[in-house]
Amino acid sequence: MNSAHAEAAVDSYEVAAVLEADGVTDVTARERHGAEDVFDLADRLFRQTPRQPQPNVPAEGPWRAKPVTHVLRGVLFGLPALAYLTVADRITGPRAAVLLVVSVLLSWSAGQGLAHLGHARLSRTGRNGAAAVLSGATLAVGVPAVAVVAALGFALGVPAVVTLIAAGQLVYVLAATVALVLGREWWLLAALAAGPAAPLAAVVVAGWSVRGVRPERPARAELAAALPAVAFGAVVGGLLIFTAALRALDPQPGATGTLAVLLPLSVSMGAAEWLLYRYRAATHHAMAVSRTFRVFRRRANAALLRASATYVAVLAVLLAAGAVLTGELPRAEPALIGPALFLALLLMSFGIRGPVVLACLAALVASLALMPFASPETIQAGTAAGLLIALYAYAHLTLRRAQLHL
Amino acid sequence: MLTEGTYPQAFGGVSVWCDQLVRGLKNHEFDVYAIQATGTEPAAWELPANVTVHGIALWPPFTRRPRPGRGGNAERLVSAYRRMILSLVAKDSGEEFAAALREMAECADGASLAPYGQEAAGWLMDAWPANTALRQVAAPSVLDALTAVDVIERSLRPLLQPAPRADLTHAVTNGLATLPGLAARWRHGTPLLLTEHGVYLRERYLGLRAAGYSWPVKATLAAFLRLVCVTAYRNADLIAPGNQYNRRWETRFGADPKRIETVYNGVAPEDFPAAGPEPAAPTITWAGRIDPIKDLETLIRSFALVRAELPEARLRVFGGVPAGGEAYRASCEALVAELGLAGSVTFEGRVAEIRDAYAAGHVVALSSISEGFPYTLIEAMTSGRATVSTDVGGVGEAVGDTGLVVPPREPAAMAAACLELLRDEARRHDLGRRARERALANFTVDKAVDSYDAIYHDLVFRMSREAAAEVLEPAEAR
Repeated sequence: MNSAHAEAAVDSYEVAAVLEADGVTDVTARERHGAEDVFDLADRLFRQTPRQPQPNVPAEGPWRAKPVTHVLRGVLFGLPALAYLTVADRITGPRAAVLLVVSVLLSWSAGQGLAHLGHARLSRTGRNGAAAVLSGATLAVGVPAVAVVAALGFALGVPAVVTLIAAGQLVYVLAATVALVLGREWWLLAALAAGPAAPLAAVVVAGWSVRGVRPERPARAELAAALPAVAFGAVVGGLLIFTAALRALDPQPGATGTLAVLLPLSVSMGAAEWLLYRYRAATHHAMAVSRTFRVFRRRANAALLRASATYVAVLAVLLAAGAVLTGELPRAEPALIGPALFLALLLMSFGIRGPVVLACLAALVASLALMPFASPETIQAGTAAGLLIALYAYAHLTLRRAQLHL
Repeated sequence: MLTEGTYPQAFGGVSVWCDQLVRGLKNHEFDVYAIQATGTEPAAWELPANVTVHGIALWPPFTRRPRPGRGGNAERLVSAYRRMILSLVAKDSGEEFAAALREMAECADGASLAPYGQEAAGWLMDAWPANTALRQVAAPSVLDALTAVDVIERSLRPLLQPAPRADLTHAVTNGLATLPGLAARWRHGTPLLLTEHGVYLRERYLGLRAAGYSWPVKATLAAFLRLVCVTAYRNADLIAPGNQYNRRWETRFGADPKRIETVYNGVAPEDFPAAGPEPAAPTITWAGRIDPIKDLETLIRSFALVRAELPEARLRVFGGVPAGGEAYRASCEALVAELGLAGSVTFEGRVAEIRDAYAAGHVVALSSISEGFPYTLIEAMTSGRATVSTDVGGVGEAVGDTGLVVPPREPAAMAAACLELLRDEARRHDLGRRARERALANFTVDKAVDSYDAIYHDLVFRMSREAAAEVLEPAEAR
């Protein structure tokens, strides 16, 4: 019998529970320790042990950032869009624009929806459940979606190589989503080495990731939960290609770089993911070391500002690098859309989805409504700025509430 | 019937007992309110026709963001919630806690406390310093307060949902499972019966120690669970523990000894006929889960002493290793090797028919450091084998004078008892015969089921008489 039983105990009953679990009975408490019974012995031990202040050791939260993985994921997601650049000069006229819009919207909405389905399953039932639902949903969505893009390209008489790239992009995005949810970043990187055959290689990686699992149809509740993600993907896709699509409709010389500017933005999503984890780890730590809500609010506000500013800096470097590579002037639209997207993803990670989707939708509707009055670039920059301000204000006000961070 | 983490989604002793009860009482309809983690756990038991299950998930996978309520009822609920949280850090606050709980049950009607998490954490942090005993040890961080309040909010969901409508509620364990019963008691006057096999509170204290919570979270949750148990002990119309030994905890935490009636578990006699002839070599058998609580070290050490006297003696250990228990089994095997017992001690693993394990030896030993009312023991007794077991929980009550009982963690005492029985055939056979008689007379499923049948009728009758008396009283006063 020693004080280890009583140290850190919250009351004498806890000591009694430990004693009984250790085989002490009323009889042995009497015969071996001279106490009346187990409760009496526990009470004595508890009283005799001085109350030691227990140190507050903040446990590491669930948001552990893995910088290399996050950045790699950004590259894996963004880089394949390079393929569009090879055919950028052929994406002209309303037909190509329609195909571009349809394939981008399909891949963004399906990708976001799949990622949500997969991650939700992953946290609930683990890897096998996620693999089952991902393979089932990817087959159910992917095959018809690719067929739609191919048929549309054919029907519209778009150059075959453009159709091929649009369909290849869609295939790649879906396969990459499966592989990334299941943590196959390095395999996917190897798949990219296949160059033009990268979509097929990605499909192989995705298939390998879900091997031996029977595809499963997502439950109705899961689909309902994934709907906001699908809507978010579609709306964000629309916001991103707004200028590119309009320029394709109304070709003007010197506008071929519109798709190229999106590339640094795609790659910056890796940094966005990394900073999101850093932000959440920071607020988790802030909760663990704050003893009042006021102190927490101050720390949370600072963390939001820090994360946003770091993202802007990273994006600026990427845009500058992109400008150097293409020899064009850096543009304002991606510099404004990027941070807005970062904040949208940050809020979505807290399950705040309705307001985010509505805000993005409002920006898209405003962009469309303003079409007759200004150039696509000006509209895109203006609505992105509005969205950025609105989302930052909303995040600042909402994420001060500690309960959300639990 | 009110359960938590057992019937019908899990295996284990309590679930076996629930299954026996609902199948035994075919004429009763059972609405099982099963408190579960996610609510997606598959049923482990085939449900008979008289059973309907209502799952209550504390961590459901899909949830809508609950909105704060409006109006007077919502204000009442929040104010009661606040008093409940404050009572967790106050001293001797059992009455306030129970009153707040009752108020919440009466005005909740399915409302959610989740929107008030931030406020509740604030109440907890503000009230904490007033309690010196708590303040001395630690102060909660924002994370501690939110974590504790989150667990409490989820734990209260069984209380806040619409109260069950039944003639009687039967909680098969103390703790959260009693909450729907308390709600029905307070709202509709439904009698509440509380059965305890182990001691819920003791197990939760151990669970909280092992859970790795920070001290303030552990202290808050321990206070919450202790007060829930106290409230249930005080408000239950009858407490029916599975053994006498549980009474110590029950009365210490507010149960009225007059309202405690022990009902023992039972086994089906047809599953355990009198075991046949004994094996040639003197053999001790053990059956159960290979788990530290069974203290197999003491069994192995005592067997070393037995073998020193009887070199041909054998020890056969029957039973599976629960998930995560492989290290414990390895440590037991290492001890066997260290004591030079390899060859005499065998780990047999799971057997299809557990009765074969009892039949395989002369003596059945049980070396546990903690037990409720172990099935192993009454099964061995029903098989007509002599037993040597440690004096923990309800073991002494089960064995009576039909087996040998020794103090826990004393290999020498256990070895002496085993040797005595292995050497004295007449005594051994006499004890085995009387053990079987005792088990058949007292510890059968039929007897347990009949006891509950009687208790159900008695409680419902008593309650209807009280209700009738309340109706008559005003007339007499006139």
